[in-house]
Amino acid sequence: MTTPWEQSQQRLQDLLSDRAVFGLSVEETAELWELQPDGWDDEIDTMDRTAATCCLGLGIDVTDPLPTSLRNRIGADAKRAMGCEPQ
Amino acid sequence: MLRRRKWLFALLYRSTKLFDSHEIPILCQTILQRVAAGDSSAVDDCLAQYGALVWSLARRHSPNYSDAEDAVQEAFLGIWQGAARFDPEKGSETTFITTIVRRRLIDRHRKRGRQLDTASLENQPVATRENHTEQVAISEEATMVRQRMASLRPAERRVLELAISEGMSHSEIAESTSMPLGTVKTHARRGMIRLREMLEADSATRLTEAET
Repeated sequence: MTTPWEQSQQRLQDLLSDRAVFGLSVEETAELWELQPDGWDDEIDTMDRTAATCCLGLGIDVTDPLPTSLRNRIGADAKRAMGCEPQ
Repeated sequence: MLRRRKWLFALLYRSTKLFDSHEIPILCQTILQRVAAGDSSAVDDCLAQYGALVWSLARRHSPNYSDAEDAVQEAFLGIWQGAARFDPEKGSETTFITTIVRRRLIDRHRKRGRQLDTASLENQPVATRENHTEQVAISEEATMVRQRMASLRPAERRVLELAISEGMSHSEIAESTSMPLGTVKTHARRGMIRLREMLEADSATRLTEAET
């Protein structure tokens, strides 16, 4: 027999896992924010990091470089935002 | 290892004047720490080091080429904004960047509210798992997670592979594996929670070893 607190903890874990792997709907996101106590940002980060590590462990093809025009655009925008003139 | 790095930092701190406002010697800073410190050359280094990784992830989760380009721009914006939060003690730079990029891509996919349509990428170089001639430098954490994934139940591992590596939704996995939708969710959740526990235990062990 699980207590309401245990049930809410279980639901919280389920939502954190779903968020990291599949993403949440608007309703589920609202439910997550309602359920999560203060200081749970770390818990969210940990689950997201686990999914990212898993993604890297499964292998990512990096044979194709970022297209040059896109790379230059992103670099120029970033430098402009930093207050530097792009070269 | 950790103690040695701190000792090296301390030595450099005393012997050079190459510091930024956070008092980390510039020579010892990671790319993201340099971005956070406002070093514009770090932007080029970051794009050179991680551009292909971000591009690959974006193509995998985008319905077409143009959307992948937008996704990459948005992802790098997230990287610049999040650079100051990077903590090398919590994980590698590659993992931190992958975390930010995946979050952005999942949110975009959710907002778009439609399924991945890889057909529109037909004329573009698309990543395939069979064509991994050059993979991203696998961090120590990633090697560890691969070993840990092997210890998950086969169904949990399969669901996580399809979701994370192939970018499939709950319903796509259910259709592809003939599992009920609820079972797919349960396998994904149990697998993730077990993986997190194992990785946290590994991390705690490494920290203890570094301090002794």
